[in-house]
Amino acid sequence: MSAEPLGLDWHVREPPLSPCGVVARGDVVPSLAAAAARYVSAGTDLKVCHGDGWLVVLGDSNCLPWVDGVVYVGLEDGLHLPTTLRCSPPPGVVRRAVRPEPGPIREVIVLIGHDVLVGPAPARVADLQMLVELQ
Amino acid sequence: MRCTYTRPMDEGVTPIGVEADARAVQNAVRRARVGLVDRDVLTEVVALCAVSGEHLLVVGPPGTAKSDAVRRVSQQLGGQYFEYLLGRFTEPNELFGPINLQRLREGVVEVETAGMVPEADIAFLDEVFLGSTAILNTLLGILNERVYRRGNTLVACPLRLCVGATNRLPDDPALDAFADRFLARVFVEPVADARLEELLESGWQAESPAPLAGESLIPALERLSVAARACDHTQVRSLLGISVRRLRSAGVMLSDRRVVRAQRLVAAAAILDGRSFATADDLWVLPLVAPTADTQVLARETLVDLLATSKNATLLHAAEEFSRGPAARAERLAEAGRLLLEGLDESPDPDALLRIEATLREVDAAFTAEDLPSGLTEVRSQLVTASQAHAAPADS
Repeated sequence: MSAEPLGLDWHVREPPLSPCGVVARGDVVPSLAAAAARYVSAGTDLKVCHGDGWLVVLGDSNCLPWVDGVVYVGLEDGLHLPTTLRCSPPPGVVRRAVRPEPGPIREVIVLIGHDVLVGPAPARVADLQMLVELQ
Repeated sequence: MRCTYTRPMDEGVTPIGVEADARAVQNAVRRARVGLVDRDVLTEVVALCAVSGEHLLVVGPPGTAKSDAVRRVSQQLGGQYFEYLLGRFTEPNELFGPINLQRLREGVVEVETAGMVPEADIAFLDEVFLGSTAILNTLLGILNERVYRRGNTLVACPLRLCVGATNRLPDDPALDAFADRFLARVFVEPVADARLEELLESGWQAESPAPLAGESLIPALERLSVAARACDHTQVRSLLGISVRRLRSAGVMLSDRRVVRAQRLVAAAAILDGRSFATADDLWVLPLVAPTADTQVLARETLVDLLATSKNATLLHAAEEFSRGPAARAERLAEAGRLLLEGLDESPDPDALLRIEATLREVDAAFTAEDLPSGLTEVRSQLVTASQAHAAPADS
């Protein structure tokens, strides 16, 4: 699922965040799903979260798949943001706007552009069949 | 590497010969790294110190390839290499040579220094702080003045670089003066979890670089050192002053000796980057002279804006590690991409394709498409083409 778009400003972040996930949207989703399936078949520990027109693959920074057109994300204040960008308002403020309830976040929340992608936090390694269906 | 220059050094550019020497040193360091995992920074800093003439202290737990990395670089550079593991009961003659008994019978104290520290171009002393007072005092003379004195023996030491290794920095204040002679510090940790498989594979294969082919690179090091001593600091001196003031304000205390001698590292970095004048691009060496791992991190953070343009065409990994700046990162990734493309054949193996993807991942995770430096843009495009041309068929 997704949350209501937010009016976020983005600025270049230096140094970049360490990536812990990779996001594909629209036409790039099948390619990322195929790449993730290859990696999972080879034994790489990846977890997946997806919604309507988007796919997030989570894993160790050195084990994330690559396809042209994806965005790598890192964690800041419980939110996944593009590794190369810093958002304004800061993630802590955005988090309270998206999830005003106190306590730990039990979902994957990704901020990209003005969009907020929200999905359940995956508990297990990605299911190959699910990745095939996304291709 | 930069294009070849033809104007003489007094016009602000390096002669072609020095550029060729820098390239030779870079290739030597690359060969030395074959079979080593996550020791790119250490091997490059050894080369930097060899050019600058400043000594290096490597701090890290046992079994982290400290001696292996230094030995490999020394072997590739050529010259006389001396290595020893010091202990509390190590005798001076084990480092500096035995007394000549024949001459002693004649009443003259002379030392046989052949093959020992006084005649080494590069020396590696493991557990250096375990040496006795006699050993450390003698080493001080060699490190400072490049002179060994004992009785009738007076040797002008060709020592270009002494690398000391230790598991941890000494607590004894009495060792501070000796430790301060090691201007550059590299702190080594065990290989990261993400690269364990790579370590296991390279360790199993026990891959060693090919022995040095051709002539020793010691003359090349000497030419680079001479060029470094003539390096123009005009553009960077005020920046150095600003940097040192900031570091001191942040609590990174540097002795006057370290501040002054840091200029030699700056000069060596400039020469190895193909210039006869130092610029802000060379300030990445400053965190190297901070005395502890924590103060090196603090130094990098304190100088983050001054280090933003840092890069080095020869010491790619070290420049990036000590600046964490985008310019150095871009240069390192572009070079990595170029090497991958050069090694690509018509039917690349899956590992080669994975390495291409890994490099593309690093590039895309480090730069937005709009901020990608031009040199890296071209390399990325070529890597994408190669990846797509040899893409594995999609699973059905």
